[in-house]
Amino acid sequence: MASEDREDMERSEEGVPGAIVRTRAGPSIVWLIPLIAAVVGLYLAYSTWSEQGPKVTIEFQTAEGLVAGQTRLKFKNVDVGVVDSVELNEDLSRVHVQASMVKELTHYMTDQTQFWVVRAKVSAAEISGVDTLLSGAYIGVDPSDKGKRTREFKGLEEAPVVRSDKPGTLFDLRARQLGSVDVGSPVYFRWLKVGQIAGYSLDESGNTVNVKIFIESPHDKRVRTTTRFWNASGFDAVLSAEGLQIDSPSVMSMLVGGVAFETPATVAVAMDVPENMVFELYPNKQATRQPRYSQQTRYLLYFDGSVSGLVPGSPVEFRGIKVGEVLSVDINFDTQTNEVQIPVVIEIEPERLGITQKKLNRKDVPRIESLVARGLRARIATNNVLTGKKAITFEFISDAEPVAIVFGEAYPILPTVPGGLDAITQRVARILDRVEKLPIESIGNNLNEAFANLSQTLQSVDNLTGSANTNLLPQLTASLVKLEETLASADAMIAPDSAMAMQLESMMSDLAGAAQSLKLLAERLEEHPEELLRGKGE
Amino acid sequence: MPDGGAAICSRCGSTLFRRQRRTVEFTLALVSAAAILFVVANVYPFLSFQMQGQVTHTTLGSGTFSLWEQGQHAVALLVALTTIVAPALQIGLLLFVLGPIHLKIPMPGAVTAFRWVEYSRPWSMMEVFLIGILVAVVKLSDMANIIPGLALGAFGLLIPVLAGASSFLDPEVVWRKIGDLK
Amino acid sequence: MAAAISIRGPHLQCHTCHLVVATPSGPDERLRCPRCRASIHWRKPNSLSRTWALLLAAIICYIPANLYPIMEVTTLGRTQADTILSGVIYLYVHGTWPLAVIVFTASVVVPILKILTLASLALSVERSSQWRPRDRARLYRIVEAVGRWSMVDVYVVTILVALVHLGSLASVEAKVGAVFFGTVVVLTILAAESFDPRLIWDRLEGEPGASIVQNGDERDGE
Repeated sequence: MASEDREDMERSEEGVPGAIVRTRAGPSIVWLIPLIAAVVGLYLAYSTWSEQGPKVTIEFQTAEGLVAGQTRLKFKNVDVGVVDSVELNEDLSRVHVQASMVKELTHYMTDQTQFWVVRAKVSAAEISGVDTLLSGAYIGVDPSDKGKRTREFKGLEEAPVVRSDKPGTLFDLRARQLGSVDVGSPVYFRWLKVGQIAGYSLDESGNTVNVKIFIESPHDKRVRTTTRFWNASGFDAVLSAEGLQIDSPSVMSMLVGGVAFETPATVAVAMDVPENMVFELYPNKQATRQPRYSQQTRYLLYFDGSVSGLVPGSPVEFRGIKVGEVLSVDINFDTQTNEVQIPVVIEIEPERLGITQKKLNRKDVPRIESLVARGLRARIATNNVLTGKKAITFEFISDAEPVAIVFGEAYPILPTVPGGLDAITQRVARILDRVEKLPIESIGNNLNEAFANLSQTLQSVDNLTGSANTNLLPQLTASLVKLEETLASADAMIAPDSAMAMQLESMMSDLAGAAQSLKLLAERLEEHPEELLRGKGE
Repeated sequence: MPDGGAAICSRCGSTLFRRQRRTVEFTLALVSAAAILFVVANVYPFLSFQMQGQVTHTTLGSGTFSLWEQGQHAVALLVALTTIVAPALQIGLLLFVLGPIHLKIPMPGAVTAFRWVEYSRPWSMMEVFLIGILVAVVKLSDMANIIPGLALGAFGLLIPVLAGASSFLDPEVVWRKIGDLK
Repeated sequence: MAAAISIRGPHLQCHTCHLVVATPSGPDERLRCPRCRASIHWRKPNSLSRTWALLLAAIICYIPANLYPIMEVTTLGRTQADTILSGVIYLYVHGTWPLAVIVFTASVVVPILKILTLASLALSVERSSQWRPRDRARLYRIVEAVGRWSMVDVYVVTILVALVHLGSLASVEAKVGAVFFGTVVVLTILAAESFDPRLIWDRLEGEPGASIVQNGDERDGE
């Protein structure tokens, strides 16, 4: 083509007016296109880069339901990120999920932020996340801007109970037993669900279970210092003079368990709950009606007699008010002395005895000592005649022998006295002893001698007055004769073989016999108290 | 006739013949634009498919990737070749050849490069791909929500730009220039 | 195959860069274009045989390409396999009939036409037909240009596979029909490329300087 061009040109130069060659210098306008494309491209690149949110790594136990490039991260059901990749960590124990979050959450990736996987979950307590069956699992986010910034997280396997978008408060409860509550079990106030169990753990001492509950706002304000919490898993039936009253939660709660609370009107003033206050979790609503104290002290008691009817859990009472309970009843047989001892461990809440002190330790035991010195003794008493259950009562015994508290092995040993029917039989036995010791015979003998002397004296008087037989003498003689007759009948009365003596004797022996029977009865009753009702059956 | 020169009728001033100096320049400009558009079209999401609250984003390469994952390696390779490799070669090689020519720098390998431009030409089928996209979108539109992405626009622009570049390209000139610069 | 007659003239044009070079005399080795260094041939080597072979392969692949499904759509556990034709019917039934026409043309008509056209062109060359060489050449160019459009269905499947990725809710899987179909397209493209249209003119009688050359041999046959 080039050659042809030149030919044309040459030809034109010959006879044809030459064409003007015009050149345009400089870059042509077409460069605008790539320029625009470049500008737009750069702008896009910039805007994509600037919209990049933080990239985070979350550690989970399993990647079930998580798909790289697809699984979203959501907060309040709004997309806030996407999973980029799912990998195992070096020792194959965990799954590392890398995700890109939206830019808006840049400042919310702190160590207080929580991540968890939302999968369909069907349990007795809840049915949730069913939409994930269709749409696939997603990762829930609970962002928080408080805390240290971080890009690495440990993911939770379950949705956290406490979330920043659900305001509320955590409370600490303490229970003897966990019962049938579980994480997620509801917390009720007037049978409205206002919160849930956040978690539980065994206390270090092994004696109690620490339960953490979460109560949503605004109901968390209802909890005051005098609030009582109880385990609402069963139903409370109260048989009282008013009849049978049943207080039950929903069937759901009975299945699933739950905790309920109320703030009863009490003498104490209800105040705002301080931090670190631990509430007692009572096993049922009834138990909440009894005041409960936080200090317990244990003592050891030894009993000689029968302790049948006394079991661990039997109450320890003072003046009819429960101050503690029996922890254990054992038996010690000393092979050398062939003696049987029954050690009983009791636990008292000294506060109930009015001993309110911050901390009860060995130093405070003198208080008990002073009470013991004043005659405080423990004895077994029948608590419930129907069931034959026994209780231990503390009493002030007026003429008790002074006994000191023995600081024996594990627990201080308090003095005991025999109790109940035992006391009666012992008293009767003592009376009988006294009666037995009366010197009735010697009294009789002395009386005989006195009469003999009197008779002799009267004879002498008679001899003296024989001669002077005047008027006076016959009267005197008549009186003397009468006296003699009286003395003779008296003598007959009190002669050892006289009727009166015999009657007295028989009366005494009757009394002794009665006392003996009573004693036997008492002993028998002690062993078989039901015979009081039933009689001597076989 | 010098480059960029135009033969104008001395009488009436109308253009008799215009030698495109600009062929290299124009083509280079368009190819540069095409390059940027190609990058955008491949990097950004292309189509998003939304159904029942689930969203899937795709890029141009997603299809190839998914086909490969499904075990259809042959089809995956074919699609990759015709929609990514061949166009990329076209654009890249043209830049590689035309750029130095425009800047009057001799480039070794220009000959091979330009030859491969010719070889890869019949295998670049992006316009067919665009129609395929259209058909697929129509098929899906009544069951789900299809959201076009940025890359789709870039792709839509890329095709006419490339077409323009092809039309402006005068291989003769290029060959000559390559030869000149050697 | 009948002996291919080709004509040697004074000039040779490079396929790739279209440079016209002087024909080298003497035995034909592997010639390279001076400008673009592509291999130059007088005529595309074994053009007819290659074209026939490729066409045959394309025909063989075309049957399964239409019989086997090209994709399988799974919605909520229910699967539905689609062949090319059923896809066309789907588009037609769902109202967008222009697209149905487009897809039908591209996926069904075009490949068939292409195969038939190329076959008839090759046949015409074999038979040294005199029929309108220019039109035949034009036909060839059309076929070459249009061939690529049969790829539409493959791309449709690609997009569907990429987009519909929702697990058991909805998913698309490419099936073996797509492989066959892709193969058909590739083969027809290669067949068109291997056919040398200049052979049309070679067989015309009355061309100056015609000389008989053995099939595949590109040297002056005397």
